Amino acid sequence: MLRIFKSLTYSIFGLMSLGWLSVIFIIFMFVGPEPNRLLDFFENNLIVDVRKYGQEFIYLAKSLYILMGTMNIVLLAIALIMSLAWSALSHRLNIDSPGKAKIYAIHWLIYTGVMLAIIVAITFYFTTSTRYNAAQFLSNGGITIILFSQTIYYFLIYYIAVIVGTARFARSSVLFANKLPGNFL
Amino acid sequence: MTLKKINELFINFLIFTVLFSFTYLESKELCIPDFELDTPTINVTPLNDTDKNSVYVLIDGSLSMQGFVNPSDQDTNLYVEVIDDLQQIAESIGNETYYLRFGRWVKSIRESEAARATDPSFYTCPHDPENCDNQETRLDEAIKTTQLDKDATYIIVTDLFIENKNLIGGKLHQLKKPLNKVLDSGKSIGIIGIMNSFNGTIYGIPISGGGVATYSRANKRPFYIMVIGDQKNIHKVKTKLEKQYFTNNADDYKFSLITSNPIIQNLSINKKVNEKNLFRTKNQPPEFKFEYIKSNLPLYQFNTNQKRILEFTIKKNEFIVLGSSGISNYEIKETLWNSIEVKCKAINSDKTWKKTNLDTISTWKEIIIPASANNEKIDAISIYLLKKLNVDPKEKESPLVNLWRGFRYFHVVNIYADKPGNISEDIFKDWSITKAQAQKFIEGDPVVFKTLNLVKLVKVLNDVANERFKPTLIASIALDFNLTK
Repeated sequence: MLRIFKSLTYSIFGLMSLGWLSVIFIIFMFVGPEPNRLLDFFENNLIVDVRKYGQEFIYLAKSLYILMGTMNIVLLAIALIMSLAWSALSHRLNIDSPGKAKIYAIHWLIYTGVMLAIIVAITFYFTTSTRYNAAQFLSNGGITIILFSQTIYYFLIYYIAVIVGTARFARSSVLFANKLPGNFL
Repeated sequence: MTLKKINELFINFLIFTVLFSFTYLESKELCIPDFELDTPTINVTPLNDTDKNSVYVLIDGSLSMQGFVNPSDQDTNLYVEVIDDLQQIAESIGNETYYLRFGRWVKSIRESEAARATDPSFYTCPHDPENCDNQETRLDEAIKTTQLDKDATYIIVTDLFIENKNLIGGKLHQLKKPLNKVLDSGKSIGIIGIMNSFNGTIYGIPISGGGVATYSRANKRPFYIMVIGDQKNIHKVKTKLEKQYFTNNADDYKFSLITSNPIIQNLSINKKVNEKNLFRTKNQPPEFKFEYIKSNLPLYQFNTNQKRILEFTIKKNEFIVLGSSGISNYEIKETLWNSIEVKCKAINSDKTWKKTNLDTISTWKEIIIPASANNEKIDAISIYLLKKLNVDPKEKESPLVNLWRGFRYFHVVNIYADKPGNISEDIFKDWSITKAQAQKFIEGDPVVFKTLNLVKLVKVLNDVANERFKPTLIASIALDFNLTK
């Protein structure tokens, strides 16, 4: 049990290595739009041309910021849950002989695939569904950028968390996790 | 105790009523962006019936007209009856009637002599055949008389058999000059064509290789009554003749109105636009309200989802002069505003109406709609509002999907008649031959003879009218809607 808690702690540290960026981003989003580089990036890369509708993006950005903030909370939560769950479950894997851990690489790949699918689905939901009116300001190019950046970013968070959080005897099941020093955890 | 409860109930009721009234008032509150209404370019005020002026009746005295009064078939001889009736019709539309005869020149004649137009001798001048002006039809001379009295109505009875030489160069200019003045003064030209029995000779038919021929084997041929004057008087003449002679045989009768202004009225100013113009079916959107604002701007207020197709339809007979050449092109001038706020209070305090940079986003199409009372069909035009917002024009989805949900929109649309049509040329096509067709036509031994250069003449008249045409505002409308999911 102690090992599991240790694993979870390492996993949380792994999450925090990149996750702090997400937290800051979420805070920025809920504070609201200010004329800065972030707003310019949104205007220049993510949204449709609102000027043809006579609008200025800064007046429309509030709802889009809330959308992005909410989406990132959900994605961060998913990355957190999935990485912690793997870290805890890795201690329960039935690895009773050398080399058996590699068999569980298939399980890890499927698990990671499911996590990626969830991230993509959540991003799609937030950026294309009619539930959030702000989604209508996003251009197709913007949706693609968000989809790729969010998927890669949250996968990286998850991956770092599972590398450092996976049980030592199960590290061979996680890609490159066996490269960690033997005395780590 | 009971009294206290009653008091409590009364106070609660009072508070509820006051709050409800405020909510209701707010929902009905009007908040519109700042804009100037397009100035109407037409403001036709009907003339008083008592404003009667002189009427000039001009009768073509050329020899080719003689066949109309010497008919082979009495049943289809309307010429004599029409000439007789014209005196009565002239009296009904004017206070004084003057008669003139024209050929190469225009000559004033007495009423008694005009009555002789139903007799063959009128066209042959038996007392002075040497000086008889019956060899030519100079329509330009006849039309020139319209400058005698600018307020008068002119009725010209003729076969409109115009030789090519009279429709080119200086002669054409002579014809156009008085026509320009007529149309400039707001007058119109009505052409009533009547197919009549004929027993005589048609002169001046051009043949290939030059020269002219005559033709005597026709037993039917149209004659024409050109009425130059106010549209009201033209329609009076037309209606009277129609009722009297053409209730059952419409094929032997044609009418066209040449006017520089084929628009009767501005539908918005005359409050002819109603909710059915936008929502023809019972499929009215929620929160629908219709009213006139700024004294003459019809405003449609509603909530709609993104599936609705907004189609504003107006019947042509409500704004186009009956029998005229119509309109061949419409221009839509429009402005669209949007607001992130939907409540009037917030819109007014934060000034959230933003004018879009979308200029021409609506399109128009001619359609035929069924009349409500019978099986007849009515010509109409449909304005597909915001249609061009659809990037793919083939797409059948509503253009509203290209607007943002949760916003309020205000759309002002001005519909202009942009270019006059040429329906009148088509109307008379069947009864017309060109110089090139004339020889072949007479070789075919026709029984029903056509009119030389009729379409060409109508085209000349249309061209003169079209030069004077100015884009006319037909209707202005405004839409104020909340776009929901």
